[in-house]
Amino acid sequence: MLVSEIWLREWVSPKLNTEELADKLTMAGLEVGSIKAAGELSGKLVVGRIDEIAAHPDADRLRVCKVDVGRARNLTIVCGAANARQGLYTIAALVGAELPAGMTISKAAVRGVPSSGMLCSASELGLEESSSGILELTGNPQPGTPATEIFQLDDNIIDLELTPNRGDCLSIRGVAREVAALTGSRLKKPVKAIEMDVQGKGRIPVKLTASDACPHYVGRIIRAVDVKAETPLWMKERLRRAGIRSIGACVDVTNYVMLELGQPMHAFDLAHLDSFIEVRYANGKEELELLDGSTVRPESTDLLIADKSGPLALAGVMGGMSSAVSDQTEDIFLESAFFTPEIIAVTSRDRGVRSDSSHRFERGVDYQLQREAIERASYLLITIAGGSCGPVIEKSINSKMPRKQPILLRKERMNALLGTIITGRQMISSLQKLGMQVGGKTKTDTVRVTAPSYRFDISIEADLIEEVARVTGFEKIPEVAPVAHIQSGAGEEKVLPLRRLQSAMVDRNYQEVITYSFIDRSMHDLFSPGLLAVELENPISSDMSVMRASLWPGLIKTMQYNFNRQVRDLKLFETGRTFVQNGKELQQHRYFSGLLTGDAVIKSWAGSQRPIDFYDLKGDIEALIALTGRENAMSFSPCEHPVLHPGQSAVVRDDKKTVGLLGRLHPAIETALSLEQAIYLFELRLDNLLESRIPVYREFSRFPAVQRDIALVIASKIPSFDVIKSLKHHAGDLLVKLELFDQYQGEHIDFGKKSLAFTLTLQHSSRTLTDTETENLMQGVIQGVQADLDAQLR
Amino acid sequence: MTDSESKIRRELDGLVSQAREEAGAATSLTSLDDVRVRYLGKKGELTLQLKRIGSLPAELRPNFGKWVNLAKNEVQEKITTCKGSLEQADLNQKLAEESIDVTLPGRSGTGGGLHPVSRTLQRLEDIFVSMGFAVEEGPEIEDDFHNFEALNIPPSHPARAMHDTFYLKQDSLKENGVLRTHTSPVQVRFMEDNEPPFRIIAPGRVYRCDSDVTHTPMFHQIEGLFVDENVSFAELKGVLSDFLKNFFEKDLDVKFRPSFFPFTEPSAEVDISCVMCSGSGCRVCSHTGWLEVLGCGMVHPQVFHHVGIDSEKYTGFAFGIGVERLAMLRYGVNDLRLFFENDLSFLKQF
Repeated sequence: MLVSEIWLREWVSPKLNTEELADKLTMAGLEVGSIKAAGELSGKLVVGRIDEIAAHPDADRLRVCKVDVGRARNLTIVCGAANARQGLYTIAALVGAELPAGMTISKAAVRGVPSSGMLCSASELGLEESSSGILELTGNPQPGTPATEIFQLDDNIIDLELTPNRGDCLSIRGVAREVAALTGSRLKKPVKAIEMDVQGKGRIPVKLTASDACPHYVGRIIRAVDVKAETPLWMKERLRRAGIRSIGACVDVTNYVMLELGQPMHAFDLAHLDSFIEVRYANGKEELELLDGSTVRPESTDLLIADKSGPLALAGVMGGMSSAVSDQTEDIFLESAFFTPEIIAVTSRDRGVRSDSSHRFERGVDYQLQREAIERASYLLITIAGGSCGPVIEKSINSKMPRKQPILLRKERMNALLGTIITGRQMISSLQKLGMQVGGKTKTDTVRVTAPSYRFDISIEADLIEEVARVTGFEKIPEVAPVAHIQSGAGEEKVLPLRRLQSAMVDRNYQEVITYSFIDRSMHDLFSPGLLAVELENPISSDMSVMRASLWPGLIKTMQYNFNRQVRDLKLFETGRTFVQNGKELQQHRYFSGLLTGDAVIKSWAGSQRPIDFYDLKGDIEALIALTGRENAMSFSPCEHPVLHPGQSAVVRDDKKTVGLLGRLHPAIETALSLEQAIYLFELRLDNLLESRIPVYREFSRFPAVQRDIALVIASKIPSFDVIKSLKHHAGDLLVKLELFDQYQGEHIDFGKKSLAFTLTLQHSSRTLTDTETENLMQGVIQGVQADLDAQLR
Repeated sequence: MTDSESKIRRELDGLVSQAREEAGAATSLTSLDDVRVRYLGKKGELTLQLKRIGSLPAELRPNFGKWVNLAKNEVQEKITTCKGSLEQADLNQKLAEESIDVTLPGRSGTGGGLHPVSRTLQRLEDIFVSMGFAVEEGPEIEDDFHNFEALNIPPSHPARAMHDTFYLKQDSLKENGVLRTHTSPVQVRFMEDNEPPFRIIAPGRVYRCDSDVTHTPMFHQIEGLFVDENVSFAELKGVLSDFLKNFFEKDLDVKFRPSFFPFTEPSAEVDISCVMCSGSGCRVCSHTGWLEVLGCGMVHPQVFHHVGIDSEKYTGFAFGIGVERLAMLRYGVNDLRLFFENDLSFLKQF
């Protein structure tokens, strides 16, 4: 809401400067977004009166004017405007004047006639977008008066960023009421309530069929209106300052009344109304062309203003083209109605049509305002454009009118909720300042409060408490440290904090990233083939149109972004949810995922470069798993995954659940994405990973351990894990540690075989092992592995 | 002293000074040890002197033994001293040989780091956890009830328009799926399942269909909720002022302004004196000296009603903090979009 300070001060003028006034509004919840000067015009733009006018000797369209610009000066000014005539008051730009568009006036000869200035149009003064002819001033202003004064340009435009609950402040009077309440200044009545003389006859029947949505409708016929009458400058200026374009007298007047009092109105061309006005819901089969040129198909939830022939307007939202006031219009029908907020909000949203009118109706328009507004509009219109008023046609369904129920307000409750010691008297006075009626048992400090009809945001006790707090000032409420029940809440020990994982990755040189949860459809399909995409109805762009089912596409995109900036060694991780449609159920699991690529050992004085491989990745994953203390419960086994290299990918499982996947990106996808280096990826289901083991103490041996090394030759396709399993099985409880310290293939080993070398650490719990025991055990182990896996001692 | 005594003494003195000279001239521990063997070894010259004792007159014998031992001690002392010097020299040489260029870079990398939003979230969590708040989470795809209805935002409410909601395609999902527009639905979910008193915060991603210089379609919030008997607006002010001063580690001016959120009543927006210019006016605070940092208010009775909490017995406050906003102010980041570009040159600064 753009508020002209001068206009506001006509209604209420507290002894505060602009800044103080703005601060007052802001601190009462009517946030001032900005304050701008209404306009700036050079001091060399003044009122001029054309005293003499003569044809230009050398140009048909130009005339030579003698202009009185005050202080006994008469200037000769050449002017091309058709409306220049003797006795016209306009604005003259003197030599040296700078126009808002940037032009500076200098002395010049126009087709041989010297001209010492320029007569200005409204558009040249920056008051209108376009205009024909020079500005015509009314009221015989004194020549020489600065234009700034004529246009009241020493005004400020205060931009109020109103919250949706304060529809009552979407008018000058509404803001003025609030200012009066906050400052204690008197609310003036610059506009006299006038009842127009009824001269003409003419009624049109009004039917309120949808009385729940429109319980109150006021209309009036005004005949013989000069629709081409010029809107006076002062009104145009006020509209301009409120951000509304001047269109024509009829529309300007309805807009002006809306700004002044808060009642959106509409003017119909009477000639296009058929038989009656009906406020009803659409039947779903109609079409309506709106004033903005669009065509809507109203549905049964949409309220219409209709006549016998069909819809005329989307009620409270926008008028229709067919019944709009045009240059041919002679008689008009003015509408001033109350529509319930919910109906207008739904129509405005569903039909996608917004207007100053719908903006107000959906926030709540005073349901007692309609008659006053139509009288005001009638007065203004007839003053400007002539015509004769018909009687006010008022239709009201009393039982459907909104009613303000009294609300109980307890002083104790108020002070408890706010943490204040506001007295009963202060409480009542605050509410009265806001126009509330306060009654009831004041002795017990519980009162009955009835809100005024323009306040749609007051329905419960808490609303009243807020009002008292607002008028008192939030800054007056103390700041107190709360007294609360102490409750322990360290969380479960068996759940590893996410932070621990993040720290571990950071310590292992990973950079955390945060990528968008919505990704490109093609990336979704590439990385989550076979999964139904969870799609957005209204994405911001096509590359952010589906919810991710994996964190990998975001990590890949981040990688590509950084590749393009010459960073090719990357270790990235991200924590976030994935979105997977599983039958009827939508799963939103948390994942801990990462990407690594480039060199494991960077080019350095200390050693040679080496690219990252699977075991770098696996080492990082093992380190994470070790944090949970569940490394013994976890296994890695080869897996098939459409996105991963079939020979270099593994699934991590514990006894029951899949914890995650790791591996190299499938070469086919590397090619599809034009990647030139190997990419390794992992994803871990966070809820399964964070489950950790609470340590349980076990007795340990204090007797000497013995170590034995063995090298075994086995078929190269046998995974080392199987050998380890076999060794552990055959060594039994005496084996306390098993290390795989070498893997070898090549010379001296048959093709298709490999050699694995292990150190076994053996220890007895209650005595020292003898050599014989050890040798026997080792024999048993070797025989066992031979039997299990056809392993030969190397 | 007899002549023979004097002679013996001279001979011994001669041996001692000869030994000392040789020890002093030794350039290595090996040659020094040779000197020791030559004089003090089993067959060393001073050792052998003792064997002469039988051939000496009886009156000389007691003194002779003493003299020889004195002489041996003197030589041993010299050798020990020389040995010390030679050892030191050896060590010095070894140290010199082992010297390396300590300015060469170390072997392990130091490339990792947290995202600045995570870093900020962790700090926010730490502050609130220290005040006894528990950390809760909720789904990011929400239903209309939890994101709007239960928070007192019915379909026709004008506040819906301010939320720029992302909707899910109906055919792709159960009805009413929206990307949560704020972390407030976590309040609702938590209150549905728990009895007061409680204090929680709910950090997480939120989504609004808006993208320009100052908006990203995804960002982070922390929701806070404090419910107990007799919780007041004064306490809301106390907790949030304390938090803001703690977070920025500055004695900021904190201002509470009335505002509107459908799920709180009274509602407030909180401004702090600009952390960049301390309130004197700069580009960051649009020359107002103030920065709007969060929204808050007392839980609306209707919200309590939706989750079955007695609003006569319990009161509470809620607040919502924009994490990126605080991160930008804390670390001087001047472009919101940087957070989600994930340029390593940006991320590595945190």
